[in-house]
Amino acid sequence: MLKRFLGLRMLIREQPESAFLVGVILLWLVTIVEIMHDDADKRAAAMSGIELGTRTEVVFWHAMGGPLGVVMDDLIVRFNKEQSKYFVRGVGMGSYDTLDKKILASIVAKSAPDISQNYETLTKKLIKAKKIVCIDDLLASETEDIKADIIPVLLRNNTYNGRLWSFPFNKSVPVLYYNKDLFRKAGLDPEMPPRNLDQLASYARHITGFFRKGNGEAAVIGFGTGKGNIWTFLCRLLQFNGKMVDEIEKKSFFDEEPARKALGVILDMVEEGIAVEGQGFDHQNDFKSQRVAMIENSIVSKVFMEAGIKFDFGVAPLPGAATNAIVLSGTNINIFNNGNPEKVKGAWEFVKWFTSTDIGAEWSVRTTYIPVRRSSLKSRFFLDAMKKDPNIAPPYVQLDYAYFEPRLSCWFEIRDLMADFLEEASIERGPPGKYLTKMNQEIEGILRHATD
Amino acid sequence: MNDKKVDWGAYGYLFPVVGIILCFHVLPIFYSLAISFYEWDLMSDPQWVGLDNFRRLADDPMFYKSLWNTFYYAMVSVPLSIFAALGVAMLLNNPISGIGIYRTIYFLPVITSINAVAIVWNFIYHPDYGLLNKLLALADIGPRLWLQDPFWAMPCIILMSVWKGLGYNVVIFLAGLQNIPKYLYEAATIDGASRSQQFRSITWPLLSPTTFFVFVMSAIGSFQVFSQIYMMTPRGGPMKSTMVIVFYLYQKAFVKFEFGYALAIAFVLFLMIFGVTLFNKLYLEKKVHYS
Repeated sequence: MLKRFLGLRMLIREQPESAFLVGVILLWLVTIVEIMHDDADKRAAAMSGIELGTRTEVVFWHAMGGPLGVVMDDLIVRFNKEQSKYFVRGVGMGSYDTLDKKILASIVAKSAPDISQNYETLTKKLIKAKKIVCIDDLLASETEDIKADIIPVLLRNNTYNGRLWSFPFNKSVPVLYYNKDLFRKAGLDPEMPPRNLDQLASYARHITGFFRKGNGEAAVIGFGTGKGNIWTFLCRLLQFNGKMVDEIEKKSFFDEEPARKALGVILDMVEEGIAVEGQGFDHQNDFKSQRVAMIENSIVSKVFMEAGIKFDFGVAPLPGAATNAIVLSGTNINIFNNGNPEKVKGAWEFVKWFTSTDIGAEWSVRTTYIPVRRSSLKSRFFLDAMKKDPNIAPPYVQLDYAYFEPRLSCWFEIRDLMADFLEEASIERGPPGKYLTKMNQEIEGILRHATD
Repeated sequence: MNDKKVDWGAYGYLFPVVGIILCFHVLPIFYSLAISFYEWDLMSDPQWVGLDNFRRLADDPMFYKSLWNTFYYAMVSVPLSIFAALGVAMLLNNPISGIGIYRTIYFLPVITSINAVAIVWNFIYHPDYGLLNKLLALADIGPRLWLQDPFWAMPCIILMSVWKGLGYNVVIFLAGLQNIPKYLYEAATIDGASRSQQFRSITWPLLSPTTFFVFVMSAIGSFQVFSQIYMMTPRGGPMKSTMVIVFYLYQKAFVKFEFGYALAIAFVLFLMIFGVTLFNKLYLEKKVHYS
């Protein structure tokens, strides 16, 4: 022992470089062993006592984070416990953006997951590249008429050239959040939120004026929204009877009166000082801190905001104009064709289970995402939850007049362009036509060069 | 008889680094150049388009905007970081008590993750809740939108970047300052030279190899600025005021999946950095006193 120790000392003294190298390699090995040990711990936690045994593993890439991720993980564990043929391994990718990139990289590397959440634009690319399974082919062997139970707009959203290629999963709607306490203080009926954009402006004007301090500064602003918010801009465009794009004629309709009204209505409110536009989630924070009395946001924001809200608040359908149209947001599910039919079967079993009447209702109540099936909306779980929390109901009223964004492969490019112009309008606050004319020209330029 | 012995140990030491450089630097450079002649969205096979990506680049107004923004960033941030670092290094070169603590404080931002730093500075610049506007309010100056204002967004990013990289340059300048022989200052003092004369005639010329190194490294780094732009102005800033060339490249590659075009941008960036570094080497280095 002593000899060995002396040998080590001699090595350090006589060949310090070699000793250093040996030291680094040892440290490296220790780190690798520790990482492997940590990975094994994490895997064991995900297994939650389940033996993999002969089960077929199904890898599910998703983008559900925070409280949504907790619900997702919980349901995945339950699926794994309720049956013994498949094991779903959920992998949270952090954001939709990252998920999109990883999906593309995985296809190049030929290591795609078995299921993933995707936007329609990617689904279209995946269909073209023959990377996903057609859901209609899986439905063919089902005894239950699942399609008949899917909420119609969700069914249309996932149907391409008459075939169901993706399955609805986590779709959300925009809603109006309003502070009932501030409504009461300002003498407004807390059970009568604004129903249309005229009322929204009038309520915002009233609230801003009511809470104005002696020095003229507004302690509370009536309405808050996101800067250059494309989602609600598109909702308003449809509410003013406008159209987005004609995919066949390669034409866009943003240089028309409905689009000018859709943009102008918010710019006018901001100019008047009765509305504010915040960067990112600023308007959400402004609402929580009671700096603004009403905001428009996704219904899913309720899950993220609720814990931080210390006042009585209400959720209402998004105020409309000529119509009450709203646009859906969120993703659908793709099942990948990785050459293993057993994995495809397992993926389909999981999707069916997850979107089934009862589980779909639970997912919807716990996350506020719209359930896939009509029967979920009538389930006991759902009806009981609605009784307990009336703020759960408003999104579902909007499903009758819900639309979805164009499913062009170039749509995200168009969206990006729109974001630039809406942001410019929001900063300069010039006449809407100044931005929309150029925006429309550039969108038509993209449409002309797009392949579909 | 050849008695030269091959030192295999030396090759052993070189192998990991050379391997990494070959795999992750040299090969990707040539691969990128090759792909820049194709149209490729990752999903389908690359399509040969020849010089089309480069022609498109020549007509792309956003590419020119990103070029201008990159030069703006470089022209302001490089001199600012050099002079700020030199000033701080000269202060820290004095024998004052607690000097180790000061040096540590200045070096802390360097070892802190850029993402964490960017989040903190996002709070500082927040129009409603930010520290900067609160401080300005004390001086009766109205709030600014900072990162949401097309005029201020880039200066905000530059200020944060200079602060973040300051400690690194300070350490290099400190080493340079400590290499200047003390007797030169003693002789100058005996001859009656003032502090500013000593700086002009001794410190500045003898520090020129250090300044040259800091300049070259900062210039290269400034052309590659990305993380702070991505973290603080995720869409390239209000009205694209912080859209720098690497961010534009990233957007084209990983948001729009136009890999061929993105790699054409990358190749132009490579040529730009190469050109600037060559200019520094051939022209500016002549002005450096190495002894």
